[in-house]
Formats: sequence, structure tokens, C-alpha cells
Amino acid sequence: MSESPQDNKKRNVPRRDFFKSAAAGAAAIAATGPAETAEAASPAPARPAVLPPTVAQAQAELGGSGAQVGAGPGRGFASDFMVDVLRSLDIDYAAINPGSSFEGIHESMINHGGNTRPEIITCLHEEAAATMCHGYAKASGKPMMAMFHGTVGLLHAGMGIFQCWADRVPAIYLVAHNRNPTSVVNRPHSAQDMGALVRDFVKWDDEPTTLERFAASAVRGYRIAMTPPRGPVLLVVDSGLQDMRVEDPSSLRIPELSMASPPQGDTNAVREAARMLVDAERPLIRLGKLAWTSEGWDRMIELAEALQAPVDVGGYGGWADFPSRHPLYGSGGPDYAPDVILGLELNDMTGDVRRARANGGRTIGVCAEYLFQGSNIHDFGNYAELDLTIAADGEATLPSLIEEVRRLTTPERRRELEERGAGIGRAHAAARTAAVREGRFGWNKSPVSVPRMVAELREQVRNDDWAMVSGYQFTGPWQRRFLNFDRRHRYNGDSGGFGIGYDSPASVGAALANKGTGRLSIGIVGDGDLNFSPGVLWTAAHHRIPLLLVVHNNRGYHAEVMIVERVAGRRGRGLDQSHIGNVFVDPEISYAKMAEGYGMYSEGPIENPDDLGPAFARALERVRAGEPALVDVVSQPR
Amino acid sequence: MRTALARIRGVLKRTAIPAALTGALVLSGGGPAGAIPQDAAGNVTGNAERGRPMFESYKCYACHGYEGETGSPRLVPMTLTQEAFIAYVRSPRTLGMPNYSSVPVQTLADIYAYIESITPDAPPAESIPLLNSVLEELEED
Ligand SMILES: Cc1ncc(C[n+]2csc(CCOP(=O)(O)OP(=O)(O)O)c2C)c(N)n1
Ligand SMILES: [Mg+2]
Repeated sequence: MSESPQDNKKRNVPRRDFFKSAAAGAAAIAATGPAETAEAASPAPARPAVLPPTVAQAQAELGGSGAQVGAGPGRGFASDFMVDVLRSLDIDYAAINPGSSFEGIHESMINHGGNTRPEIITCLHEEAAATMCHGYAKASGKPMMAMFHGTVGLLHAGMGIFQCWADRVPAIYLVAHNRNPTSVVNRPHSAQDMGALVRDFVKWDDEPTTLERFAASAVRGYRIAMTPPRGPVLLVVDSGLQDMRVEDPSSLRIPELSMASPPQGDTNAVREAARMLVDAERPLIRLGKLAWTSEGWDRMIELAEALQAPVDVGGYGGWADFPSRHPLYGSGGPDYAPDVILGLELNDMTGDVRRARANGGRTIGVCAEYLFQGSNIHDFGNYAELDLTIAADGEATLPSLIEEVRRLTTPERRRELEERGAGIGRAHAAARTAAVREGRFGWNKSPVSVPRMVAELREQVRNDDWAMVSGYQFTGPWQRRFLNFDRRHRYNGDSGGFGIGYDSPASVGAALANKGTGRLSIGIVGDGDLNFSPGVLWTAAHHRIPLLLVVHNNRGYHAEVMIVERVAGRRGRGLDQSHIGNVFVDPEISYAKMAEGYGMYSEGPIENPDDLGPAFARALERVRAGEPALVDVVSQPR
Repeated sequence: MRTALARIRGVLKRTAIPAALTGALVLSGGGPAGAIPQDAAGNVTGNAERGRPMFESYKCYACHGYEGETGSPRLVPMTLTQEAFIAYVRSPRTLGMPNYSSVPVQTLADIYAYIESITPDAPPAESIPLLNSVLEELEED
């Protein structure tokens, strides 16, 4: 774009003119049909030393199918129908990094679908594309799609697909390849069993071989993705199939989507759980990934209040589906030793079982994951010896559980429970206030303390309908202390697989879901996190996705500094060396400049805490006007 | 403020404890008890100035903040006696805390002296409008 005149002079053909002639060439080809035909019709010219490639050669080299150009009126291409199928599923966006294996669908999305529903979201890395889907689905409650180039794109996407799976979030992933590869380029982009590359961490994959099968697979895949336990699905599409002519589009039918109702807990098991909980002296509710809807969020409050039991949402990993200022939010206070622990959509309860048994207590798990497990890397090594295991969706089971709890609670028991709840509420309130006061330490220090960073941010957004779209990561406790997480959409959960590199693209994905809803999306991401997919900043800028991205810039992988230090301590050597391999200081990285380079408004690096409030205010002005903005905060490690 | 940050940059770039400081360590290391400075009561006496770069090199900042005030647990104001502090870091009881039993007692006393020398930057929460407003919100709840 911003080529210097010198650059142009160096070449024989100025770049702009090259594009003009290339476009003219393409138009000529489109008008005459395949070059072979044109060549045969014209007299043989004197052969130049180097022949220009034929269209067929060029397409083969680029990995294309070599199909003919131009559909007659009334006819269509198979990929047009494929786009119609995707539209029928109400998929709003398709995140892509382009590749010739899906050129047919790509072109159909533009020229047949008019680039709406799905609208193409241009991604600079497939991991970002896959992870945007992950963040998007949790914020919107429905899947979007991403499309990958055979092998190479899918392998890049693998990490994002894995975390989506580990977090039990639905996404529609599509990968294309050539079932009949014709060139040195598209052979490595094709595979005998493409789905095998990621089969261990998708809920289902399929390679439909006909158009009708594609339609059925897409609709079926959507249902599988959305049935608890939710998860990503993968469709493998042959590029030859995409390019087939459809003589009579009306002969093709898109099956109707019939969604499966979520599984509810067995009546007797739910009754038993309610009895254990109502009889318990110190019950504790622990949450994993519970509420897909705001109704689920409301039901969760009802259950906690019916039982007057504390609700521990955990730190990392869960979705924290309970209001952070509710008197029952917490783990009951320092002396609360639970005698019954109820886990709702908490896939790993091994620690809870240990804890409960230590007090002679019992455990109950309600989780859809007991219905479906992957074999290889899904919760490897996790078996919890629960006293009552209910294989059902937690959110769907809440109404019957609440009803049973109410039925079993006599007026006298109710009075006892209320008394207990009031005590828990007082303990929580005292702890909450003390935790807020802790924020004053190092208040004026540079680099900026984490509580100062979060408090300055809160001040700027407290009157907005904000949504924290990044994970809990390393600033989570301070966010919980200062901000009032009082709605389902205030927090969008975590990576699922504890993989760094989720927060930045997932924030952009969730912000895409929140675009136009009046919600103000905020992501607080580690500097280490942002460095995995920085290109997603351009995606946010290009697609005008409103998002405030705050970089918790502690100049490195601080979690790892501490870990290496511990090992060195255990081994009694090199305790002064643990920063090696873990810090980014020589040279330092400027995330503000990085954002600027990608065309995003940015502030920083900010080292003086007094500069932070005004910087947030300026950045938020842009975000409220519909753009993304980044604030680079040089901060204390923790 | 600038100097604190400049110093931290130096810390992160440093690949090992500066030779001059290591020399001091070797002297005070596993040598006879008589080589270690002691006060009248027989306690090792620490030197805050020597302690600061040690605090940084031994990555105390990674969990406790560059000046011991942020992160967790907070070290400032220090609540342990020197003896308890040294005993703890040489045999920590939590998984998160590295074991510093290989670090000489003198160095740990220096680190202790440094932590003790830090004046807390902690205005009362009520005097900080941003925190006070959170506290007010909590009271309303
Ligand atoms: C993909 C991946 N690579 C490496 C790790 C190991 N790891 C865990 S935390 C962490 C540091 C993350 O750095 P940053 O996001 O800057 O957070 P910080 O700890 O510095 O606050 C790393 C590298 C991981 N969890 N995931
Ligand atoms: Mg970091």
C-alpha cells in the first residue's frame, strides 16, 4: 500500500500497473474460457524463451481444481448450495485464512451469498480464527464457523480447536482438501483422513461425499455441537465437490434443523441430591461451566437461595455463573468445612472428593460430560469417586432440583437455613471488604500495580454495560474484587485448556458477538498471550469490532519465572537464573506500537499509574464509537 | 519512579548475580559462623543495600511485587521476625514458595533487611477515591 517511489523504480512494471494488467488478463480469460481453447484457435506465435503458464497449469500450481469459469443462468455451483446450507443454520460469521482448497466456498460466500450470513472475517492465523469462534459462541450462545485450508490451516487451527473442545463450546469448523490432488502444492494439503488430525478434540467429524450428504452432515453437525456436552464439530469438504455444477438447484433440499432437548437429571437421582443438600449442615455448591443462558444464571441464584448455601465459582477454568456481590458468593468463610459438595457442570471433582472425605462429607456431581467423553486427551486421568453421579446437563436440571429442594424444606428447616445463610453472608462481606482494602498497597508504584490497573478501568466503565471477554488468567482475582459481575454476560469464561494465546483472539470473537448489542467488550490479556496471535488486532481493526484490549504487560511469562524458580529451589542451584527463557526485555516489546502497526488505536506503554485513567478514557471514547483500542500497561508481575 | 523502573529493567536483563555481589556471597556462604556479622544477641545482621539486588535476583518480585508490596502474599510491612523469615524461606510450607535453603543465611538476612527498609506505599483505602467508591458500593449491597 505505502510503497515508496524508489521501490517502484526498481521494477520494470510499477506495482499498480501490474495489478491493472493482471485484472485485464483475468477478464480476458473469463471471457474466452480455458486458455487451451484460446491457444488452439489462434495461430501459433513465435515461442518466447519462457512460456507464460496456461490457466490450467496456473490453477493446478495454485492448488485449484481447474474447473471452468462462469455458470449459466439458472445453474449454480455446488458451493453456492453449501453456502445456502450454512445460511439455513443462521451462521453469521465465517472466520477464514484463505486457501485454494476452499476457494469454491470462499467465492460462493462472496458472489452467491453477498458476503452476509455468513460474513467473512479475515484472520491472519488459523488459531485466531478457531479461537474467535470459541469466544463468540460463549458470548452469543450460538456457534459461528471457521474455514481452514487442508492440513496446513487445520494444523495451525488445532490449538484453538482443542481449547474450544476442552471448554465444551460449540463451533462449526470446516476444512477443505483435494480428494484427487493434482499438483505438488495441493498434495500436502490433502489427506487420506483429514479429520484424523484433530479427531481427538472435536466432538464429531465427517467427510460428506455428495451435496445431499453435505447438507445433512452440516445440519446434523450443528445439532451435535449444540447438544450438551457441547463441542466443536468438523466437516471435511472436497474441493472438487465444491466446484461441481448444479444443473437444477431446486432438486436439492436442505434438511430441517431439529434440535435435541438437553438431558435432565433422572427424577429419583435429583430427589436424592435434594435430600442430601437440604439435610446437609454445611453444603457447598461449586460451579464449572453452567449457564448458557441468562435464565440459567437466574435459576442458579434461586437454587443457592433455596439452600442458603455458598457458591464457589472457582478461579481459572469455570464460567463463574453467579453474581460476585451476592451474599452467598464465596466458599462459606475460613472455617466452613463442607459436608456435602454439589458440583454443577464441574468436570473435574477429584479435589472436591478429597476435601469432602477429609471431613466425612459426600459429593454430588451433575455434569453432561458423564454422557460423553473423548478418548485421548479429554480430561486425561480424571476419575472422581462421587457419592452421587448424575449424568445430565446442569442448567437443564436446575428447575427440577430447585423444585425438590423447596418441597423438602419444611418451614422450620427454612428458618435454620436462613440463619446459616445470614452467617455466611456476614463472613463473605467481611472478606470482600478486606480484599478491596488490599488494593491500596503499592497504589502509586511504577510499574503499575494490578489492582490499580483494574480499579482505574472500573472507574471508566462502571456506568457502561460492560462485558469482560477475556479469561480469568492472572488479573482475575482483582477483577472479581472491584467489578460487580452481576449478569451472565459480564464474564465470558476461560480458555478451557489452560493454553496461553486464547485471551486475545477469544476477546475479539466475543466482542464480535457483542457488537451492536450495546455491550462494552473489555479484554485484559497478558503480554505473553497477545504475542501468540497479534494479527487478531488487525482483524479487530479491519472489521471495526469494538473492544478495549488492556495488555497486562509484565514483560514476560511471569507464571513461568515462578515455576522455574521453584525447581531451582528444589534442586538448590541457580536461584538467580530463572528469568532465562521467560522474560521479554532485550529488546522490550511495545504493544502500543504493535497495535498502531495493525491500524488499531492505542495508548502506552503506560508506566506512571496517574496516566492510566486518562489513557483508558481516550481509548474508551474510540471503543464507544465502534472501534477497537489497545492500552499497553507496564505492570507489576502479579 | 523512573529509577525504580530502570532498575527493574536492569534486573530482568541481568543473567546472573553481578560478580561483585557473588564474591560477597562466597565469603559469607557456608563459612564458619564467625565470618557472619552478628548483633549483640548473636543474630545475623542484614544490610538492606546489599539485600535489594538479592531480592531482585532471587526473583522475590515474581510473586511479591518489585518492592514487596503487590502480589501475594504481601511482604510489606514485614510481619515475621528475621529468624522466622529465614527459617521459612529455607523450608517453606507452601508448594508455591521456592526453597531457598541453598542461599546463605547472610544473604537472607540482607534480603530481610531490605524488605524491612521499604516504606509501605499504602494510603488508607478510604482516602483513595477509586477504592473508596468500591467500598461504598459494597456497603450499599
Ligand atoms: C500454549 C501455551 N504455551 C505455554 C504455556 C505455559 N504458560 C503458562 S502461563 C505462561 C505465561 C503467560 O504469559 P502472560 O500471558 O504474559 O502472563 P503472565 O504470567 O506474564 O502474567 C506460559 C507460557 C501454556 N499454558 N500454554
Ligand atoms: Mg506476562
